[in-house]
Order: sequence, then C-alpha cells, then structure tokens
Amino acid sequence: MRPVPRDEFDLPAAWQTLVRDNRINAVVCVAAAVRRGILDADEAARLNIDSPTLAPEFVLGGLGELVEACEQADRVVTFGT
Amino acid sequence: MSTPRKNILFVMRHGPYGTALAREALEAALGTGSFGANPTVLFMDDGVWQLLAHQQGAAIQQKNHYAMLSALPLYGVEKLFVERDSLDARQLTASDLPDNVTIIDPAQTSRLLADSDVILGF
Repeated sequence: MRPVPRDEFDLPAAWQTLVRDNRINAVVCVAAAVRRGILDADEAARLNIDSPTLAPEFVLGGLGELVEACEQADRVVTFGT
Repeated sequence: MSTPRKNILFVMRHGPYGTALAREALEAALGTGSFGANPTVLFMDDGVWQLLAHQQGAAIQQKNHYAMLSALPLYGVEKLFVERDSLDARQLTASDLPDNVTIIDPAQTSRLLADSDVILGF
C-alpha cells in the first residue's frame, strides 16, 4: 500500500482490483517483502511495527509456494528480467 | 506413481552487487533446491561475475555473494552452467571459475533453455 498522486495511474489499486475481481491467489515472497518493509499484520506484530503495509488482497508466502506453483502450473510467465 | 518433476532453470544475468537480483535469485535457487526440485542454474551475461572467488563485499557493506553461492551443492543444486560467449566477452576463462560449473556453448545453451519446463530469469 502506498500513496499515488491523483494525476498518475494507481498501479497498486489496479492490482488489488484485478486480484479481488478474479479471485486470484496473489502471493508475495515473504523474504523479498519483509526486507523492503512490506509487512502483513503478523510480520508487523513480530517486528513491533504498528502498521502493516501489505495491501489486503495479497498474502505473504515462502519459496515452497514458488516450487509448488511451478510444479502445478501449465505455464510459468515472468516479467522484468 | 508420482508425477515426474519439472525441469526448473534459474538464469542469472546480473552481477553479484548493485542490485538485489543476484542475491535474491540465489536465495530462491537454494530454497528451491531444499524442496528437492533439483533446479539447474545458468550464469550468463553479467551473471558470470558472480562466479569469481575472492569477492570483498564487506568493502561495500554487503555479504560475500560467492560464499553463499558455494552452498548451492549443499542444497541439492548441482547442475551449474556458464555460457561461454559471456565469459569470452569479459575475458574470463575456466581458471577463473569454480570447479563445479560447466562451460557450455551457445548451441548447448539453446538446448538447455528448450529443455526447461520453467525458466526463472533474474
């Protein structure tokens, strides 16, 4: 969750809408997220931080989920690198 | 009868420091190995720099990437390849590399990519 200027495309909100409307299982890598300060309620509590920062439609998950997703998916598509 | 597992390939294309890619890719490869997925790792482009020993990450307040990379076999990640043209372009040779990494030519690289069911690029 982060503030987006009104004249810019609100990417986080667009993601949330996509995930919610299509009931997508949106998993965020816990290691990558926590080291960047993106925390769900459990992680925030564990670190004695007041407010979670992970948007509600997303869940933190570990590498086991990545492996399982790769094994079960018909196709894996990556973006960025 | 259990389903045969997929061929998962990690492609490392970035150097060890300056971005989080190499470090996080390595963590993902180690983790994937620990789940028994037997992934393959391919180093190419600037990713070949990760393979040099004697890295002094401490000089820039970073953990030594090579030390962590050396742990790959301990986590069941033993299929390690490096793309030959990437080495040549950076004037690196086999003597610069760890013993457990295999140099492959472009044709072999193409085959490796084609044979992989899942390719995770970093």
